[in-house]
Amino acid sequence: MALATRAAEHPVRPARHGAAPPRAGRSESPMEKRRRRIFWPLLIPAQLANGILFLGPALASFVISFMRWDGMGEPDMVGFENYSRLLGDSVFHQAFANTLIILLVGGIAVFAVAFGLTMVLREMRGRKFIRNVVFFPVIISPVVLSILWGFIFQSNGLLESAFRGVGIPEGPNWLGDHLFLIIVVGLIWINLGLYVTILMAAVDQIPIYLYEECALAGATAWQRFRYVTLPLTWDVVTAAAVLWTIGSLKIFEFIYAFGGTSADMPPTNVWNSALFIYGKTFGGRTPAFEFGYASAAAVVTVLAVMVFVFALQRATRREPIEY
Amino acid sequence: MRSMHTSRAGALTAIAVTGALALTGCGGDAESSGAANAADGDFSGKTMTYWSYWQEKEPQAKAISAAIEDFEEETGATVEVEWQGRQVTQKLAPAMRSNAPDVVESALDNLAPLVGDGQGEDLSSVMTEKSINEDSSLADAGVDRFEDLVTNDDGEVWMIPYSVLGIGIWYDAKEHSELEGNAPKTLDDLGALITKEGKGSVALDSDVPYYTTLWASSILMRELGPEKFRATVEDKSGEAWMDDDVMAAVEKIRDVVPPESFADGSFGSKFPAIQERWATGKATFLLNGSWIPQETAKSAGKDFDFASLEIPAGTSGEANAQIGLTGYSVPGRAKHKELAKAFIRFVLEKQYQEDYVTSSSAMSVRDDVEVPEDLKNIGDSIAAEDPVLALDGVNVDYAGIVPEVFAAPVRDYLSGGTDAKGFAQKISKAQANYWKGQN
Repeated sequence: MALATRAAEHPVRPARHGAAPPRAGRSESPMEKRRRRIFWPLLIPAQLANGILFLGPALASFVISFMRWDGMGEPDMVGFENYSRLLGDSVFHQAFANTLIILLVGGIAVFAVAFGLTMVLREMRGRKFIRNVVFFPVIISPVVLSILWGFIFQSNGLLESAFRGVGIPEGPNWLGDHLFLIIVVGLIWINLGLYVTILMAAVDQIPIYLYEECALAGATAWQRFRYVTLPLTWDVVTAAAVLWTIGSLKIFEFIYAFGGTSADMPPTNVWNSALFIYGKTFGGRTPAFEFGYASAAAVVTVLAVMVFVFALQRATRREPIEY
Repeated sequence: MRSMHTSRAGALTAIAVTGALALTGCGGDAESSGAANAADGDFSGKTMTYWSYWQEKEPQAKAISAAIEDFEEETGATVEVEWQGRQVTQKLAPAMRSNAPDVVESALDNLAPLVGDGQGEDLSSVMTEKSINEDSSLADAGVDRFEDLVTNDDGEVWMIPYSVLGIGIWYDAKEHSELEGNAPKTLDDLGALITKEGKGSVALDSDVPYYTTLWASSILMRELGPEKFRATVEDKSGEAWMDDDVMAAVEKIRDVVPPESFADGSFGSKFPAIQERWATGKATFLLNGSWIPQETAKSAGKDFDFASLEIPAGTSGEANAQIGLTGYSVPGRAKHKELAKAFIRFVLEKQYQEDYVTSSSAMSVRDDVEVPEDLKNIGDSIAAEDPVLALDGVNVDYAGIVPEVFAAPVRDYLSGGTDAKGFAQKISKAQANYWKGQN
């Protein structure tokens, strides 16, 4: 009884990410005191690591974006010159557009296919096995997958042989004329397993009787998805969408290894922002070592994606549904 | 031209080592200036660091290791080698400010942006000095032929080359014995030969922009001469591609290698698929570098008799061999510069160069080291006239110009996706964009 009264007086609030420790006060419990004591000792090492490894370099990149610097000599401050260069650089425009295409088109495709698979797998026997198969590319190095992708799509490759097998003699020149499309499809394939796993975990939490009621009411598959699955997994979907957005910004290896060779960057029409940054620093036969310009490209891309993530979170905000 | 070599290493290597820096500091104190002459060999107790372009298991590394052992024995110095592999210059960039090695080895196009513009030690003395086991200088051995190509605007020699890489149109001399001593004399002759060989006779891995560009740049350089080719590329507006002479040279590319002359899959495969098809006799010609006999040896088999044709003279009349160089540099912040120079001079001694050539089927810069049999044609062509850098070195002077300017328009043009005018418009636009972004 005493415990219940205490709990009612001091309801335990869910810990918010980054929330400060409870202030010392008259009614502070021994547990809260202990939490307060260990808060900073636990937080500081992680924040130090975060500061040194992430925040520091990020801030340095921001400062370097206002410089002309080859990484060796003394840097020169050039104000907004790097940014104005970016405005007029068609290679960057293409790379930035490709980043957005991967983010939006790739993202929509990943979620559409992941939901489709989730719905099919939900009622399927051997679902765990299939899920593992779909998840498999996630644990393989993108470089290895890019080699397999090359075998499939290259001239006289597996796909062309399959086409010939069914009487289609002349298929498209996939690598020559549709390289970026194949890259986007490859990225969807690689990432699908992760999102299928996340969404399946969410869908598995939905009580089966809701679907049984749908069946009794004669709901179609789309209606089941629209009125049961999507609303009840919404929180997970929005978190996964942010995960994809941030992940898509960092995509590099697959495009580099699939579109390029060991010495050469891929053709510029398939570069995304990450490839552009690499191409302007260490990439290619004769590296450019333009750290200022590359940093400016990184800053622009990160800012654009931050705006996107913010808008995405606003647009997808819903009251959580309890069930 | 490191990258030419680099194509051999798998994509895995390229990705895996990026950014992985494991640099060890060199031991010992900085040497006093003017410490010792290379030939004196008095460096006992000193330790220098050497970052190699090769990986430890490669045959080239074994040859160099033997030279290092002898050097240590002769001088009493210690050489700490790091077999960095093809990514050596990517690791060098961040080390240049603080922890630079004493000697770094790589291809010219890799080293140029790092040490080619005053950031490296002037190595001109290495050309003229004797070595521990040699009374003659490198200049006496003909190495100074390449000196202009590794000298910057301030007259400093920033790299001592040891290996020369040539470019040729490779074929199997066993299958085409008629070409022996009967090489095409002009670009028109070459075009006629390719046409005679029929459709699909030219192999090209067009996903390697450098290889694709080579066809265009080689013919343009023969037609226009290296200087006008360079001037065209350096034109900030890109309008120079519309010049009548340049357009005629562009048309010549199509006359020599029309789209149908390229082997099936040349524009839709992953390197080295088409090169391998060439090695197995599915195509007659392959424009590529002097590493091809070694790189395709397994697929080609013992019966394949490697031979090559030089890209013949065009309107300009010039037919100088196009080359790349691999060599040694000493970063400006190296702590043991004199020791480094002595080491470089030592490794370039005739006996060690012979070991290197034997182990790797490569060509030495020394004219007293025999050229391997497979590379005879290229060797002759390099010996005949002073060579020029492939692409006249515009790819070395202007980072990113091949992927950003040449790659897509040339690929479209060679594959028949556009005509000469369309090519000129495309490359002109890409070039204007490129120059707009240069500092």
